[in-house]
Amino acid sequence: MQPDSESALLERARECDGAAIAELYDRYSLRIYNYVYHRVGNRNLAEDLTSTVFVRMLEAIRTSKAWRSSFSGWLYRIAHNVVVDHFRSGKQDRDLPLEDMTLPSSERPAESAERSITQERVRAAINELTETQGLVISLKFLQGMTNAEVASLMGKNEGAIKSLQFRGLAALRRVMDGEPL
Amino acid sequence: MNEDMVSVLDKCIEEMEHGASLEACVAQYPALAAQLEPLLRLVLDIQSLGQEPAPPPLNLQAGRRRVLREAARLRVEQREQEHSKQSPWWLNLPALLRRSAAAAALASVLLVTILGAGTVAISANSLPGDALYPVKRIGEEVQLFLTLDEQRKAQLVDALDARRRQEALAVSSSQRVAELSFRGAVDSIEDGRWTIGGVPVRLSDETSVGDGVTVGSFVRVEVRSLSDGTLLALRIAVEPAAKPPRLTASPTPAAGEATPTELTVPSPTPTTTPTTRVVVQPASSTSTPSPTPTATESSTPSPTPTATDTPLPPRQVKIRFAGPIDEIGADTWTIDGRVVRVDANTSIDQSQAQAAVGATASVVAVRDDDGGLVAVSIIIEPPPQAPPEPFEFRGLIENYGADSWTVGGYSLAITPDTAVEGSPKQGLLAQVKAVRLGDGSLVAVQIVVQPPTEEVQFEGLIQSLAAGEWIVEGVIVRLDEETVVEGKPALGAMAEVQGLLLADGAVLALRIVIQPPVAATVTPSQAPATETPATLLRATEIPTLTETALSSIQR
Repeated sequence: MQPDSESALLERARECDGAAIAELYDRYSLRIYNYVYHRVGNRNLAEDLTSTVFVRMLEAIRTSKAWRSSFSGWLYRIAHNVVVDHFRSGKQDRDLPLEDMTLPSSERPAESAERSITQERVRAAINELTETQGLVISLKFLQGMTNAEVASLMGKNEGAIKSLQFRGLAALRRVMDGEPL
Repeated sequence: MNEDMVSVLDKCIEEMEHGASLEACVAQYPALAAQLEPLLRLVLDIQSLGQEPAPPPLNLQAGRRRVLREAARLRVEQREQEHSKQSPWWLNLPALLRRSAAAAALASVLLVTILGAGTVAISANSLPGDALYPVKRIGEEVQLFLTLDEQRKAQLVDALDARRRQEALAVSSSQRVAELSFRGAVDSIEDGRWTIGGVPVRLSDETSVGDGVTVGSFVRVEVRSLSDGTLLALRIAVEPAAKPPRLTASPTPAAGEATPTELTVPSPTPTTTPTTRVVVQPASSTSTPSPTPTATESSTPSPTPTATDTPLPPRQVKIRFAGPIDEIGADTWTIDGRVVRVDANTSIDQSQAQAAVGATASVVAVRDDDGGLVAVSIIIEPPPQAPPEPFEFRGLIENYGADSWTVGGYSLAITPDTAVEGSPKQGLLAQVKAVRLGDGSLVAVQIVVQPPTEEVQFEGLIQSLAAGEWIVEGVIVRLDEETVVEGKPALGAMAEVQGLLLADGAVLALRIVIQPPVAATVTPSQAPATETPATLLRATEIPTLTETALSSIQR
C-alpha cells in the first residue's frame, strides 16, 4: 500500500501534474540512478537512462495499474526494462564516454582488467534473464536488499524470492557458460 | 532436490553476507557442493559490481527537465483528447458538413447513392460492433444535420440519446464486447456501481470521473462492454445539457408531426427517477408562449427559460498560438496581442518558466459563445537560448585565476578551450573575445594580454603599504610574485621604483629599492629647507633619477 500522500501524488502524476511528477522524480531519481549505474557501469549513461525511466513511467502510469501495489517496485521494473532495452538496442557500444577509473591501489592492472571483463560479462548476462529473475538478482546483489525488502517491492513472498534467486543464478550461470537458457 | 537447493543456496548467501567464507558454506553441504559452489562464486561476482559505490550524479537536473517537458506535452495531449472526445470520423460528420451547404447536399446524395436506402434501413437495428453500425450513425447524423428547426433538432437529439442508452442495454444483454458511449442523467452512485440514464455501469480504478459529477448530473459515459454483460465505465464527464425543445412559439410543424412528442429532459436536481418525462403538445402556429407542458412523472416540470433555452454547446475548435505575454490579469491574459480568458479549468504549465509579462507562452484555446477565447492550456516557454554571439572588449585585468578572470569589470569563465596569449598580470590591458551563455554568464574564448610597452623609473616616499599594492609618491605600485624588493619597506621611507606603466596609470613594479633613512646627513646646501625629505633624499642619494618622476628607461 502507498502512504496516503504518495497515493495522492501518484494520482496527480497520472494526470501529468508537473509538480507531482517533479516530486516523484526528486524522491526516486537517485535510487533509480544508483540501480541503473550498477547495471550499466557508466555515470553519463546511467543519468540518461534514469530520465528515460521516468519518461516511460509517465506513459505507463496512465494505462497500467501495476504501480498501485508498490510504486517503487514498479519503477525498478521499468528501470530493469530500460536497461535491457538499451543493451538490446546495441547502442551501448557507441555511446559510452570514457570515464576516469580509479584502480584499487592493491590491484595490479592485469587483475583489474580481468575483474572488469568479468563484471561486463555479468552485466550482460543479467540482461538475458527474465524480468523477475533479473530484478531479484539486481535488487539483492547489486542493491544489497534483503529477501524481505525485495519481496515487498515486487509484491511477492520471500519463498518466491528465494526461488527466483536460485533460478536466476542458475540461468545466469548458463548464460555465462554459453549454454542455452 | 531443487527445494533443498533453493533454501541451502539462500542460507549460504546469508552466511556469506555475515562473513562466512564460500568454502566453509560449501563444506556444510558436500552432496550439493558441485552445484552450490559455482552459484556462490557467481554471487560474489555480482556483488563485486554492487560494492563499488555509484559516483554521485552530475546532472540529474537535466533529466528532471526532460521528464517535466514530456509531462507538459502529455498533459496538453491529454486535454486535447478530452476535448475532442476522440469521436470516430462518422460522428464528426456534422462538423464536416457544417462547412458548407453544398457539402451537405453532396454528402446526402452520396449517402443515398452509395449506401442506398435499403442499407440504411437494414442498419437500423444494428448495435455497436456490427458492421452496419457506422451506417446507422451516419444516417442519424445526416438526419440531425438536415433538421433545421431547433425544436425538432432538440427532440431528435433526445431521441438519439435514448437510442444510445437502449443500445447499451442491448449490448450488455447480448454480452458482446464493444466500446460505446451514451449520455444521460446520473441516477444513482453506489460504490463502483452507477446507474446512468437507467443503464447500470460499473466503475473501476481506471475509470476517469470528471469534476462535478453527482447524482442528477447530465453526463456522457464512455463504456466498454465485457463478455459477462458488464458495462465498464472508462470515462464519465459532465456533458452540457442537450438543448430541450423550445416550449415557446415555434413554426408550424410539418404535416404528420402533430402527435405529442415524448421528450427526455435531464432532471435539474437529483431525483429518484432518472429523468423527467415531459409531454409536449405540438406547438401551434400562434405565438402562445406556453404550450402547457404536462408532466407524466414529475409534478412540476416548470421548464424555466434558463432551463429550456440552454444553447447547444459550441463545437470546440482549437486555436493555437504562441507569443509574448503582454498582460496578466485576474481573469484574462493578453498574449501576442490576443486576449484569452483564463478560468479554473485552464492548465497553466510553469514547469519550464514562470508566467510573467514578456515571457513567451504557447496557448491552446477554444472560442466561447461570444466568440472570445478561453484558454485550455497555457505553457510558459523557457526563455530562448540566446545564440552565443562573440562578445569582444578590452579591459584591465582585475584578477585572474585558473577558472575565472575579471577583466574590465566582466567576470569571465575560463575553460580548457580558452586561448590565453601573453602573461596575465593584474592591471595589464587585455583584449577579450567571449560568448554570452543563456544565463548571461560569459565564457572566454580568447584573451590576449597586452604587455605594457613603457618602462618607468621613479622614486618617492612610501605613502601606503598594502599586500600587493603600495602607493609611492602618489603613484599606485603593484607588486607581484616577480617583484624584487630590496630593503625594509616602511611608511615614510624613500623607495626607488622600476616597473611597467600599466594602462590604468599604475606601475607594475619589477624592482623596488628601499633607501635607508639618511635624514641626519641632509644639509641645507643640498636642498632648500622647504623641500620634503623625499626630495632631499632624491637629490642626495640618487640625483640621476630626480629629473623626472616617471621617465622611460631602457633596460
